[in-house]
Amino acid sequence: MEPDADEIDIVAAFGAAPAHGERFAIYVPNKDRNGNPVAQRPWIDGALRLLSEVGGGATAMPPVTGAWLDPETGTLVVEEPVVVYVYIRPADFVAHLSDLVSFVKRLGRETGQGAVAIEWDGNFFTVEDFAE
Amino acid sequence: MDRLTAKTARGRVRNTTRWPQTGMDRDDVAAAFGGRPIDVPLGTDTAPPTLLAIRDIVMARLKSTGGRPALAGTDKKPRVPMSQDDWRLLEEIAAAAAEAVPGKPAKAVSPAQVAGVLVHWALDATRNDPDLRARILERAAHAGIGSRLAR
Repeated sequence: MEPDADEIDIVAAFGAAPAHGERFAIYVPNKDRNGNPVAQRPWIDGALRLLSEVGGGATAMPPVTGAWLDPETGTLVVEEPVVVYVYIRPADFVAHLSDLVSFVKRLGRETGQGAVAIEWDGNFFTVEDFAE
Repeated sequence: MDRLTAKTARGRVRNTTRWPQTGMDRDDVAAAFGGRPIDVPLGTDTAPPTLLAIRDIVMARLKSTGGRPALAGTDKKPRVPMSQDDWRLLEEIAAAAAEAVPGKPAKAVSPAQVAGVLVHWALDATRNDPDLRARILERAAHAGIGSRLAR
């Protein structure tokens, strides 16, 4: 704790309630593991829909430049993923966790990914096994 | 328009909002997805996506002059004090960047060249983001170096 800091409940100051917890994000790819283009838009829309159900709304960032190093061939696949994120409502996140897992595995399987990147509360991990 | 700023008498605010949490940590969530955690938090210069980007930038900015490749667009070679730990990290990044791209010969990359790219990258981000620039200047001012940076 900072001894010289003024303490303010910022959310209460706005007359709001702190309903949202951790940040959860899915990186939606636009290329498959071989660098071939995939239809990204339907997956962005699907992620926005699903993440909105766990947070009341979700955000898709503009495409960024990302890279994935194929561990088998050493080939660097450079792509433009879209990061879709939500600040979750804890109970809704837990209730929809199996839907989220299913979505990510389907995304990986149907777009031919080597890995799908996920963020949870500032931590990064990859899903590489898409079997359900 | 002047930038709007707010300060309390003490200069700092600590938010006391009690945010709701799932109680799940990174490993719980990664396990639910059958995922593979990477033990580096995002937002640090050692996060894997960041290291890949650094390598790309270093390789893209190197030009061959016949010997050790030089960074394009650099004309100053300042002496910058740094810790042994930072220098070791620069050496590690330089070694990673120097690795051969499959099918192509390796290129020599020095830690100083990597440092130049990282500094350029950080300054570029500062240059292009007024909010980030304001935050850095504010922190620098607290550290007593603001007047030099603001010039």
